[in-house]
Amino acid sequence: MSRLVVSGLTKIYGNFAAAKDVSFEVGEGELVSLLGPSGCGKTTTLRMIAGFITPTRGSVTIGEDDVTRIAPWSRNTGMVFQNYALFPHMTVAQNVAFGLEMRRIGGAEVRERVQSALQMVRLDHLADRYPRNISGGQQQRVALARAVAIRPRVLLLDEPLSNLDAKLREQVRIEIRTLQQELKLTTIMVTHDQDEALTMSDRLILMEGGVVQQIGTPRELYNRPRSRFVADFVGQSSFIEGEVVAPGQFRSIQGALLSCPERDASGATLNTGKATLAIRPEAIRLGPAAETAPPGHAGKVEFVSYLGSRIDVHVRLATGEAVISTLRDLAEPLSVGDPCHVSWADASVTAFTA
Amino acid sequence: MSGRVLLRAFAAPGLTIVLLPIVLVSWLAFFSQEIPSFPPEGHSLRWFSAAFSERKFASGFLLSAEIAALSTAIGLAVSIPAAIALQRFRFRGRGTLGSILLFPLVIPGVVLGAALYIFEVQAEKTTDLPLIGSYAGLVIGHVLIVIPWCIKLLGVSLSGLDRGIEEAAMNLGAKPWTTFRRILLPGIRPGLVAASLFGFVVSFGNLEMTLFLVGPGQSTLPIAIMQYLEWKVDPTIAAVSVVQIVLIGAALLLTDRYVSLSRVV
Ligand SMILES: Nc1ncnc2c1ncn2[C@@H]1O[C@H](COP(=O)(O)OP(=O)(O)OP(=O)(O)O)[C@@H](O)[C@H]1O
Ligand SMILES: [Mg+2]
Repeated sequence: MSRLVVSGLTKIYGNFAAAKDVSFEVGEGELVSLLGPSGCGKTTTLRMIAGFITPTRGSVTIGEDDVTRIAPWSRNTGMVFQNYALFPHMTVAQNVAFGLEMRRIGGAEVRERVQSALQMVRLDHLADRYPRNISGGQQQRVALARAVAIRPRVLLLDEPLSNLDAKLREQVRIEIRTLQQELKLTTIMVTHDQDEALTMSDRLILMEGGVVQQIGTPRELYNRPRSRFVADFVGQSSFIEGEVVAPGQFRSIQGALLSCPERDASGATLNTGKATLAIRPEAIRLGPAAETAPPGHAGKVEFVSYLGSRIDVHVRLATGEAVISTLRDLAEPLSVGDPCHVSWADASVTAFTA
Repeated sequence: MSGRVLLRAFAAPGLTIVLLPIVLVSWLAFFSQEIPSFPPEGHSLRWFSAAFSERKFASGFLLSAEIAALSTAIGLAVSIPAAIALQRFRFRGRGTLGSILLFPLVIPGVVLGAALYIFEVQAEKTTDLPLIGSYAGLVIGHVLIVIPWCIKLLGVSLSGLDRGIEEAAMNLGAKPWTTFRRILLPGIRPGLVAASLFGFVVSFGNLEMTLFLVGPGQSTLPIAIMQYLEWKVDPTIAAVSVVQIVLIGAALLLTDRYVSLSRVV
């Protein structure tokens, strides 16, 4: 396993940049997710690393080797394709053996390594089946075994879970992560599912419009988003737009006066002028309408979505702003139209100038 | 529902008109009398033994089979790369190339044969190569009529193939040639089988174009049948036709198993 360094990677189609100056590192044995909305350049970036797309500029380094100009078949990356791309005319075992044959590994060792790769994904009993005769989840695991069997220097996963149903996805998430950690595989995973990215990754790379927006641990991205886009894409947030009228003082478009931090998300002093405040839903407290402490705002419940382990309550403040609060449980039942008292700690507010 | 009934109502007479001669000819082959007349005086297999002992038919069958095999092989060798290029790449003149390769399909066999013959005459005049009525000329003509079918059948197969599997192979260390041999070719195997069978059938049964291209002493089975008919009308011809119909029918049924012919024709 090796470290992967991507630096200044750019791909331009005509006059459209599918990826622009993408730089990051993935340490040995680390799992890093490329996360972002559809069309943000995740697949393009992954395919440049695998060698299927020639970058317009920039370089890809695996271990000590600059592989930017190296053909895909010599890069020694193991890729799991979104639709698995299993060879339909080969059995499960032959699929897994293919990469080993290409490496001119002898018959006995091939059998042994195929066997152990299939055991790893608990599919050794299906070795002689053809891909069309196994389930989607099993196909996914064959694809993983096939990529891992060659002992790649970097493992590349393109939306590995997107073709699985919700229940199976949870389970395979854990399996992939466990396997990746056991084998200490340097891994890049492309996904547009933030839950997947947050639960599986050591670090996340959030992209938008071909550009890296922020790189960090799941915790960093969630707690210290550097832009409104990040706060919006990773987790939920209530956004209140308005302007800073004095240091620490903010007036929303609707006219509510709120306190705000003195610095924005990037750490710069927040000058007077247009700004947006973001508050995470679990930081917003709801209480009975009669409550006065802590100081807060009067509001009215607009919508309640029950999600089993949590409840999202959409509240409209008396001044007109919409906020969302996540509750573990409702102390007393809240229903649409009920008045309530809304409060949050000043420290939980993040401000963005954009 | 009613559309289906209507379709069947129209298809039934159509099918009857198409199949009736085949049925009648097949029946004729089993008549025992020499001059075809109705009703038959009795039934026998004597015309089949007559057909098999007629040297012209046997040698015509062999020549037809040989030319069909050769032109199908050459046609495939040309069509595989062509079909891949047409399917995979967007290049200038792609549409034109596709049309040219499929062109022999829409030109009547007589026109194609005459054109090739005139070409051979002109080419022989300028190059002094013995082209007119040559074996090579005959094969070239047949390659021409085999190619469109190969391209179509391979195209269907290729379009059903996931491009991702070729990338997967390369990702696992396979160079392009290995990927072609180990992944692409097996992946379009149904198309290859279908194209071989269909190409063979098309070449084997061709009469119109072949008439212009054969040299003296070369007669393919269709030509042998035609020549026989000029002198004699007895059920031997019907027997030969039955054999041919059975062979071609079997080939088409087999082809259809690999690539549904309704997607191509
Ligand atoms: N060959 C190409 N020519 C022109 N534009 C392209 C090409 N390939 C991709 N693009 C564009 O580049 C952008 C990034 O594409 P990419 O496939 O990397 O997105 P993605 O982040 O993987 O999205 P998704 O989540 O939908 O898979 C898209 O806007 C896409 O339309
Ligand atoms: Mg993608």
